Amino acid sequence: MKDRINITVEYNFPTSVVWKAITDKQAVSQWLMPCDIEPVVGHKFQFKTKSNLFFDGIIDCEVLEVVENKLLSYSWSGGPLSNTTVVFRLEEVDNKTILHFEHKGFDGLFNRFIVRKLLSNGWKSKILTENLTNYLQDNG
Amino acid sequence: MADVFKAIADQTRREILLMLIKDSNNIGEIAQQFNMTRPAVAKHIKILQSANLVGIQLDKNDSRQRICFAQLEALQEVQEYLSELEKYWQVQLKGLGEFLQHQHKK
Repeated sequence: MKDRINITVEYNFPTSVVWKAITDKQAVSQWLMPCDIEPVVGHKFQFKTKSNLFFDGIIDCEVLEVVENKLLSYSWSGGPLSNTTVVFRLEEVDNKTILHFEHKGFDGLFNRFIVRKLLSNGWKSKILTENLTNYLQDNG
Repeated sequence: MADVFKAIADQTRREILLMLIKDSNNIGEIAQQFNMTRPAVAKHIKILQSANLVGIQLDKNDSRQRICFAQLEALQEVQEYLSELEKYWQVQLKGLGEFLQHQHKK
């Protein structure tokens, strides 16, 4: 079963240009969503958007890894997604950039759906449901 | 659905189910991971199966082995969500390309 999203895209620009576009808050606010990102490990920021299928308005992020012109990753929590990770890995080939994008860490999402499924099956015991929910969260 | 209640009330079965959600396995592999005997695992699997939480099929590569897999409808929901999310990112990353082109023209 697939547990992560991987997308590879090529851009006709050197990595330094793409790097700026994925780390500069004004640039990211334009092509992705309004945000206050800074390429500094530990920096906490938010994306703000209208509610849609994936998000409910605010996405909380924290920068996890920064290697200039090469690697940017941050956590991504919002809507049904809790503590997932988004990774941008840049590779320069002939003055072009190959972006290896990854979105991973969907265990919490799986567990959430499972709990909902079990609850919808008419499982009424409060103690057991709470225990299971806690258990799944702790082990998610 | 009383069987679901019974199936999930046991911690070992919850752990087996969580393991199968991540990856299908045969009974021998499950027994090894949980340090249990095969008959003990088979008993748990039978209970999960009767609750429709787990399905069993023959291993295509080894007909002596039977593969256990989680079969929650919920999993389909998750997969659909992820596939929509993947489309979302494809659109955004294409947008990044258009953004770069646009910046370059200026």
